[in-house]
Amino acid sequence: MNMPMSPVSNLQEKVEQAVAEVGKVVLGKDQQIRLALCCLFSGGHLLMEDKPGMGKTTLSQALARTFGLQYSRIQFTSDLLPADILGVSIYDQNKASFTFHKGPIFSNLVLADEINRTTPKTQSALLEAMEEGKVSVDGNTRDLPHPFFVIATQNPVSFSGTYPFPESQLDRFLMRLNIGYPDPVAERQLLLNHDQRANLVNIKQTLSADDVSAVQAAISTVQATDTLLDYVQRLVAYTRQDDKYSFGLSPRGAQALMRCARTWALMHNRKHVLPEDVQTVLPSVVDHRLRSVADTSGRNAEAYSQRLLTEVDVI
Amino acid sequence: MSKSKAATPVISGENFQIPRIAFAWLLVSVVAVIIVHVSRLPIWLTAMCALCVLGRVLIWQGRMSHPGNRIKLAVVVLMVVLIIIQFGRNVLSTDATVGVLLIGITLKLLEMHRKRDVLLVIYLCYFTLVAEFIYSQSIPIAFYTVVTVVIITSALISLNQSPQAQRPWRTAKLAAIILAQSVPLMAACFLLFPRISPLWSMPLQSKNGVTGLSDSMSPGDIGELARSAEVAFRVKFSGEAPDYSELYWRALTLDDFNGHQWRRGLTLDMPQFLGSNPADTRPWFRDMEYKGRAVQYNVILEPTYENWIYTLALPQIHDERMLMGRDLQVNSIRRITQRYTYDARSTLDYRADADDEGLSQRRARRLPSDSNQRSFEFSTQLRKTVPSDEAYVQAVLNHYRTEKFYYTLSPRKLGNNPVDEFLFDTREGFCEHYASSFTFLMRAAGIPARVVTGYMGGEFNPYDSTLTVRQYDAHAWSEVWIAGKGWLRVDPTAAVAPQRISQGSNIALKQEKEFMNNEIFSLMRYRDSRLLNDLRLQLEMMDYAWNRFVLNYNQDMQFQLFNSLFGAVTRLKIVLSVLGFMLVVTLFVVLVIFRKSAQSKLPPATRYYLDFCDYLARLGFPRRIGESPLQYLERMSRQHPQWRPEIEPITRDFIHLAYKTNKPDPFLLQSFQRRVRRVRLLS
Repeated sequence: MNMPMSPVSNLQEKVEQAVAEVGKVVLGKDQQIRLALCCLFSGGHLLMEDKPGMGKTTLSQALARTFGLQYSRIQFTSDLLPADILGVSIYDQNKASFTFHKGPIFSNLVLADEINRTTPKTQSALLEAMEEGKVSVDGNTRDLPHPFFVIATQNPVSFSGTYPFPESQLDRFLMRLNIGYPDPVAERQLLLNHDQRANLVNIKQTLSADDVSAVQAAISTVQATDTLLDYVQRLVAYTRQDDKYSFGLSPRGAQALMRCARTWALMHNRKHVLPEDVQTVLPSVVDHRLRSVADTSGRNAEAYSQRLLTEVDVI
Repeated sequence: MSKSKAATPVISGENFQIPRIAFAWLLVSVVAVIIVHVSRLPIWLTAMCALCVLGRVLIWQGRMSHPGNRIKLAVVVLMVVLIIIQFGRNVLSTDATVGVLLIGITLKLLEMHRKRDVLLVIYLCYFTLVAEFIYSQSIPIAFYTVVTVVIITSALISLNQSPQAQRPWRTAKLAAIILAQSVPLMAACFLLFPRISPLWSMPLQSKNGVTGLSDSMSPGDIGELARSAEVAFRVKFSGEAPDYSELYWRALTLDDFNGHQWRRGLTLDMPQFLGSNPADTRPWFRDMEYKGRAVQYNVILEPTYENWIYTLALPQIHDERMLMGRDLQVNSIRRITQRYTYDARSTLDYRADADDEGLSQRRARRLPSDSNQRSFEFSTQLRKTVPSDEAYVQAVLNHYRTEKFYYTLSPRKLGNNPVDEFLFDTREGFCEHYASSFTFLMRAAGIPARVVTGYMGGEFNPYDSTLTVRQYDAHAWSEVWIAGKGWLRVDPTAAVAPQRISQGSNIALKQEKEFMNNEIFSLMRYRDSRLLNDLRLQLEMMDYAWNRFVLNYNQDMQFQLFNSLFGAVTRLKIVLSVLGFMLVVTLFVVLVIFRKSAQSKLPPATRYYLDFCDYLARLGFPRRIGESPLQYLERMSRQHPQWRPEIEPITRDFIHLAYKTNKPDPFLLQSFQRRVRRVRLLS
């Protein structure tokens, strides 16, 4: 308010430009793009879960490009080792000492493809890095670059040879996005064009790391009134009380919800959170943190949050 | 007071600025409180109050500054001195106190610097207003007081409202609502709170301005009363009322004549206590014979500041507060300074003091021998022409009837021998002239006789069948003692003006110029207009009910109420009921507080918005669970595009109030509330 030049004051326009750019390669998924941007602006890591060939990787790449961030891509396989991600110290005979060769994780944006295909050991190396923002190799702690994002994708269908995340590790991801099938118009467009992915190189950078820092600085200034917090608390309480859920939303989950809602408000040039903000980000933030009593595998994530939206009143 | 301090003017910047509307309310309150007392205040005091109010307005307009300390001191000293001079020994009377309060309030107006000063003025206004009830508790005064309390409360409310947010009428409405909420508690307290007789008595400033009978009678006294239509007392008969011509309300028995004035002489007979279980019954009281039909009635007497009460002869009263003299005069033990009610039973036919001739009969023959010689001679001669005392009574009455006597309110003035002059020269007079001369003629012939004063007749109100006796019904008549028959009532006025007895002074004196001269503005003067007369009678009926059931609600009535509610009254029951009542009140208050706190969890904007949602739900379009205001707006706009202009601003305001900040702008909140209240959607 007293910072008229603040980069967040016209965030909506920038976001729309970015959505337009990314939309060149991911057709008809504007809302998912926005949610992904919201996640990154909030400083969280994004998990994209969908069937193969839905455009997860394309979206990740496009997002990386639109931020103009230095990014690396790791294809997770069952034989991938932590050192393959983090880097390795190699004895340099000329210097007669070990030199650390940084792994692909030392990037602003890491695309971790099919993250559930690798062993828990490797997964946890990545997750630790996501959590700490640092990497410990050979007793030395090294800082990761700032900003640091991980966009992970995973395939829910294929069970063989996968290592599903436990809930505690899913919680590290701020959002989980389902991309979903394209609508008929977008589908037609996809079929018309030969190779949509070729357009990736045409994506212009419309956002920058500075925007991300500015948004993160501004998040705390977004007003969430008592009326709104009452609503959020009712939502959280519902997940904890209703016996349809085997466990409720953690305080971290609730914080994540508010953080995303604040960012969403900023992305619409608002300085206060509306219930719609909460409702919009709710499924992506909450679904992977909840589990239905009937669902022991933790895979049927859909529609958990839908109950919240229709059974918890806004006011 | 230090010199430097006196020299510095009050720094206006530090002054508390009383909100404009609160100031207006305050001035109206002060003026209303002054008005109610103004008729009893000395003129200079009223003028001073008016000056102070005017001064306050000038200060407010900025045309005058607050008076300095020296001026204030001087004015206060002057006022104290003036009040002491004005009230003298009565400086502790209610009049003086009210005067001091009013001066205090209006002077305080001139130095309202802080909010607490304003509050002080407001609280004093409440207090001074209620002081009026010491003087009068009539319906109009009660009504006026209620209105004024609303005004003062409005001042109090608007003082605490933000200046932008207030509308005078809403404030008054709020005040009225607040006061109305206190009515049940007030009624309960009125009905149930123990009626303790006052621990102190108010030193009212004498009985100035109270019209009524006095303890003596000289020519012209009763005629004076006929100018006034003030109510003397009201009577409700249970059962059939006696004939109009039997309504002789006796009060005083005057048996001592000094040639000009009748008074009640000293008597050696001890009066009879009329309460239950009298220690001893006087022989004369025991011997009284009550004959014929008894009339039962209840009297509500206006304060007279005298002791005597009014009864139909011969009364049988059981009342702890009363004494009856051998001359049949009934007195209250205490002076009647408040409205006084009593039940009585009278047998119109009776025999009192009939058998042996005693001191009272001998006293009733005494006359001053140095005046009224002509009357002496007249009676002696007349007595010789008739065989018996009773025949003599008839002869005298006949004399009044046959000679040219006039019944008039404005007779010529009488000199040193009033009886002579009346009987033989002027021959015009009011009832006291006839009673006085008749009694004189009786005594001159050796027949024991005395004058009785009181009221005769009254006005029956057809709406509630009560009898209202007014000052102009005042009357005087005679009693003569006939051996074996006792004291008998003889009314010589009946011989001259039979209309007075059969229809009341109302009719008999209608043509008189002096009659009800004091009642220029009263509805009483317009009895000839049927409409106005009906109106008057209905107002009087209300007044009677007010007197009977509100003002006279005393310990007895309270006991009766308890009796009818809980059976026999015991101490335990009283204690339990008072405790129970207090418990109920406390529980109620606790409940209200809890409900308030439960409700206030929702911020006001949300409450109003939910009201609005309820309204739409009543129209058949409830908000769905989980539907946000904007989504609701969109859905409603799709279903009823014509409602969008109404719903959209409400939604917009609500979002602004509920989600933009935790401390919404009260002005916006109020306008939002108004908008929600006024919304009307047509399907």
